[in-house]
Parts: sequence; structure tokens; C-alpha cells
Amino acid sequence: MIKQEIIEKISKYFKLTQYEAEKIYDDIFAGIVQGVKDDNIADITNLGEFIIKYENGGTGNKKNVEFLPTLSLEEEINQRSFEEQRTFEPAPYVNPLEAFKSETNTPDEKGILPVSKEVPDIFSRTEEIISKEQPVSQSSLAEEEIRRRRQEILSKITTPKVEKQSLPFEKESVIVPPVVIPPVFQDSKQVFEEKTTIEKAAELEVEAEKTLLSTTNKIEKEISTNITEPLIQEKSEVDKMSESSFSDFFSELNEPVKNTEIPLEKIELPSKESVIPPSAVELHNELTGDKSKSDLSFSPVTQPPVLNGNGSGDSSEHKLKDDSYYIWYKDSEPNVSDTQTMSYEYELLYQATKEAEYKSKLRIYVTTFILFFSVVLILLIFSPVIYKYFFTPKETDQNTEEVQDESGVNQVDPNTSPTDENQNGTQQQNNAGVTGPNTNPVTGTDANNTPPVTVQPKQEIPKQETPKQETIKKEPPKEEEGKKDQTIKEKPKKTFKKDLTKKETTTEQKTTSPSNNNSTLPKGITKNTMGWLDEINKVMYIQLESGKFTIQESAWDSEAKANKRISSIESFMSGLKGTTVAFDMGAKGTWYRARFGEFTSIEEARVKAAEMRSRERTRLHALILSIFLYT
Amino acid sequence: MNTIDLINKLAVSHNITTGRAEMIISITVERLIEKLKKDGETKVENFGIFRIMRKSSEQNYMKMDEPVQLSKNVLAFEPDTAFIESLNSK
Repeated sequence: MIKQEIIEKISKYFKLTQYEAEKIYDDIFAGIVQGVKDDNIADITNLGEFIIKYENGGTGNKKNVEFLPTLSLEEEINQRSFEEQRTFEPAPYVNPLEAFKSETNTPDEKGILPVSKEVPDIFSRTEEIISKEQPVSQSSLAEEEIRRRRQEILSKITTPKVEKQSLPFEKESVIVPPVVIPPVFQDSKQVFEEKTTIEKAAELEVEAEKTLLSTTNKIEKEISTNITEPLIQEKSEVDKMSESSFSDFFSELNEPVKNTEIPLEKIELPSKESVIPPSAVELHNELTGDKSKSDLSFSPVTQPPVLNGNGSGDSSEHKLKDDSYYIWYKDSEPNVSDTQTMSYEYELLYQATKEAEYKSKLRIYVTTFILFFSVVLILLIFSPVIYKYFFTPKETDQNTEEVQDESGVNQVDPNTSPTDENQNGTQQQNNAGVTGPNTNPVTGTDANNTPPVTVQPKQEIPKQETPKQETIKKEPPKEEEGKKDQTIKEKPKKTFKKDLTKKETTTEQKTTSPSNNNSTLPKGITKNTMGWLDEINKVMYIQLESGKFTIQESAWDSEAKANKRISSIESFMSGLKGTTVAFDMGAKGTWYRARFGEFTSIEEARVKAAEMRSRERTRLHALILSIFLYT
Repeated sequence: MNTIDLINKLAVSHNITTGRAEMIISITVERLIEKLKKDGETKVENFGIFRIMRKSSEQNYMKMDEPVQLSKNVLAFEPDTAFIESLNSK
């Protein structure tokens, strides 16, 4: 029996013929026998060990085999025994019909008519029907008892309608129509009457039989339709589930569902939970009186542990007998989907923070770079203006230094060579009238030659009108002018020599020195060898040969620079014409002086110079302001 | 001899994979145990009979605070005569 089952299973799952499966089955046990014979031991997983046992003290000839089952198998067997212990012992079924028969037999002992023998035949059919209804009750096997009890519980829980329907059937089956058995009489009349009564009773019995037959037919139909079919189906399902094992869910074939009779989809584990619901188990425990039994005791197949994501099942929750759990973490791996989601969320957060940090940093970098670059650009753009603003005073100083050097040279010369002074003195005597007001009274010759009438140059220009009062003094300026014009005319020709320049400077010094003492000059203007130095506006006023005054704004070492300066000033000073005048400085080279306009008086020139400087300053301020605004 | 040897032997003799052989053996053993649990006795031809036998507890008296030792079932194996003969034959 078992052999045939296994062979069929093997042939079905592995697509083998019956012969091949049978051969394999035989070979398995033959292999075990051979293994025991060769190695004295055969260890079969999940079954046990077959060991040779020598019966005569180990040295005897006869060998026997001892089987040591595995612990798991022993546990399974003991679990079965535990179930057996708690199996419900049903009360002996007392058929009421039998009781009735026994009751009917009693009058038979007393002398029942043979007619009454038909009655048991009538009830035997109902008995058969009832026996069909409850065939399990007559079985003596404990296993079948257990199964029947389970089935009853299941029918109570899962199909309550069936239970309701079965109630009237039970009533009908139990209730037996009453049959009146008349007493036995001795007299013939009574016998006749009895015959008539018996006939009547027989008719009644026939009628009762008909009614019973009709009712039994109805009951049979009802049983077949409502009760037996679902019960049989459920029973078959329960049998299938209880008999199903690991091998039922196991197949190497690629498409086992199509080939096998029981598709694997139907044998899914979750569906098994619905076979025996927990309420049924509880009810069963209540009925049997055992509350300590676990819920899984009646489950036909133990559920596999829930996987924890790694697929191996090692790191899963294992349920113990006392409903406690332990989790096996060995070789456990994190769930890939969880890590992915976490990493994705973290990635988003990380990117957001990084982006914010990067943006703030980038903003700082960009703003600093723009500021720095703009400052550098502005400096580059306005470098000439800045250069002019910061270095023009130096140039003017240079001019003054130049002048001072010239004057220094002139100052040194008189000390070192008085003869020259004397020689110059003769010239100065000639030029005394030329320089006139510029003559320095410090020198003795000048003191002698220069008339004290000479007035300061500022007053001199208006004094050009005043000479009317001092007729004597009119002539010398003219002569001076004539001589000065000669020297000025010589300068553009660049034919000056050092000696000449020295002489000129000495004469200029000598001529200008008296003017320093002049108190009529406006504040901030001092007389110099070259002309009048305006310390406020940082310019010099030079008297031309024509007697007019010009503004010497600056001096440059190249003509281009001087022309550039003139053009820049002419741009914001309309009506002011500039000219360049070359002057040989000897070792220092040729310098070009930027001069602007011709004015009749120093005061007029000073006003114009002040206007020029103020305009230049406002222009520069506007530029600086625009730079600041731009930044 | 153990299960692996049996698997290899079966795979070689029937020209099947070791995986299949392992599955066949496991199915056979499992079905055998199921039958044994169900009927209490399983007979394998030319091999022997597996039988579940009741073994009473050996405890004569019970100590205080000690769990009661219950009687348990024991799996017995009765080898077939063919098995014994094959063992004893040289």
C-alpha cells in the first residue's frame, strides 16, 4: 500500500514510469540494507540509524538490526500519542429503534404475533439510513474517531446552516410512529376481532410504511443534497490537507501545476489557515477540556517561518511552545528595498543641504569676486585720473623744486663766485630796468641799481597805468620787457646755454627778490624767480613779454604728456587756450610747461586758475562718487 | 553509510541528478513517517516493519515539585527475514 503510494508520487512528480519509480523505491531500501551490511550502520536523515546488533555477545554469528529513530521523529510520535490520549471517547450509540425492538421482543416472549416480525424490517431501512448518516460512530479506530470529531466541530463552525437543517432530520429519524400491539385473547371471537384488528393494523402498517417510505425518500434527498455532499467534500478536503506533506508542495519540474492533479496554487499555505480557524480550535479545546494545548496542535501542516527578507529563512521569527518568539539574526542581511528607500531619502536630504551650502558659498564667492574685479576694473579705468589727482601736486612741486633748484643754483652761485655776481651785476644793472619790480633788494648791486619806486608785479600791471605819476620808472620796464622778450624768444629756439640760464636766473632772482617784500600780493601768492607762485591753486603766473600774465599749470618731461594735459583741461575749461613751452633743464633734460591763457593781471589769472582747479576737483569728486555708487 | 552516499548511489545507478535523488529519498521517508503516524505501523517489503509501541514510565514514585513523567511512544523496527538473511549471508 505504502509502496504503491510512494511509487505513484515519484512517477507523478518526476515524470517517471511506474517501473522506474518502483525500481528506485526498491533500490533505496536495498541501498540501506547494503549500507548496513557493508558499514554496519546506515544513517538516514529524518528517519534514523540502522545499526547491526550482534545477538550473542558481539562475537556470535547471528546479526540483527537495531533502529534508532531521530529525535525529531520521536517527538512527532510522542506528539501523536499526546493527541491520542486526548481523543474523545464517544458514548456508545444507542439506537432508539433497537431499544424499541428490544421492547417489542419482550411481548414476543410473552407471545407476540408473528405479524409483528414485519415491523423490524420496516425500521431496518431507517436504521440503514441512520447508519449512513453516522457511519463513523461504529468504527472502532481512534484515528477515525478523532477525524469525525474534527469534522463535527468544523461543520458546526464553518457550516452552521447544515446544523440547522440536520435538526429536523434527527427529530424525524428518532421519532418512530407508534405501533399498538394488541393483547392476546383466548376466545375465538376475540381472535376474530383480533384478526380484524390485525388486518386493520396491517393496513395501518402499510400506510405507515408508505408514509415512512415517502418521508425516508425525502430525507434521503435532503441528506444527499444538503448534508452528505458538503460533508463529503469537506471530508475529502480535510483528508487531503491532513495527508499533504512536504512532498506535496515539492517538485523539480518547471511546470508542475499543469501536470499534477492537485495544483500548487490550491495548496497554498494561507488557505490552510482557513481550514481550521482559531475559533474552532478554541471550541475543540473547550470540548476536550484541554486549554493548555497550543493553537497549532490541530493544524495539519506546520507553517513555515516567515521570511525576513533574505530568503534563507534563517533570520526569521521562530515560535516556541510557550508562544514566545526568538529572532535568529545569524547571517541575516538587511532588506534591500528598505536600504534603498532609506538611502534615497537620505540622498535627497543630503543633496538639499549640499545645494543650500553650495549656493550660499557660491554667492559669497561671486559677490567678493565681483567686488574685487569691479574695484580693479575701476582702478584700471580711472588710473589716469587717479594718477593725475595724486601726482599732479607732486608735479607742481617738481616745478617748484625745479624752480627752487634753479634758484638754489643761483643762490649758491653768488656765494661761491662773487665775481660772477659782479659780472652778473653789470648785466643786472642793464636788466635792472627790465626786471624792475622783480629785482631783489638783498643783493647790493640790486639795491643800488633798482629803484625803490618799483612796485609789486600785481600792482605793476595796474601800475602800467600808474607810470603817469612816475615818469622815470616808465622806461626801465620797457627796457626790461624788451630784454625779457629777447630771452623768451630765445627759449623756444632751445639755444640757451647753462651760463645764459644761470645769468637769467640770477637776474630773475635779483629782480624778484624785491617783490617778496611786497605786501600788496594776495594771500597765498609768492613771488618766485620764474614768476608768481600760487600755493592755493598750485599754479604759477608767468608774465609774458607782452606784459600779460599766463597760468603755468604744470610741467612735463614729454611734449605729449603736456599736450594731453592741456587737452584734458581745455575739455572742461571752455575758452581757455593752452600752449606748451619747452625749457632745457640741462642735466634734467628738456621739460615742457603747460600754460593757459593770457590775462592782463595776476588777479584775473588767479581767478581763472581757481575756477580751473575747482572744476577739476568737482569732476574728480563726481568720478569717485560714481565709482562708489557703482560698487 | 549516510544519506549522501545513498543519494550518490541512487543517482549513479538510475542516471538522475543528485538533487532528484535527494528529493526522492526525502519523499519516501516523509511518506513513510506519515503513514506510520497515521496507522501506527508501516511495512516495507524485504526491509522490515516500523511499529509504534507504548512505553510506560519507569518512575515508581513522584517527588515533590517534579513534573510527572508520562509514558511515551517508541518507534520500533522489526527487520524482515530477507534483511536479516542478507546481513548474515557472506
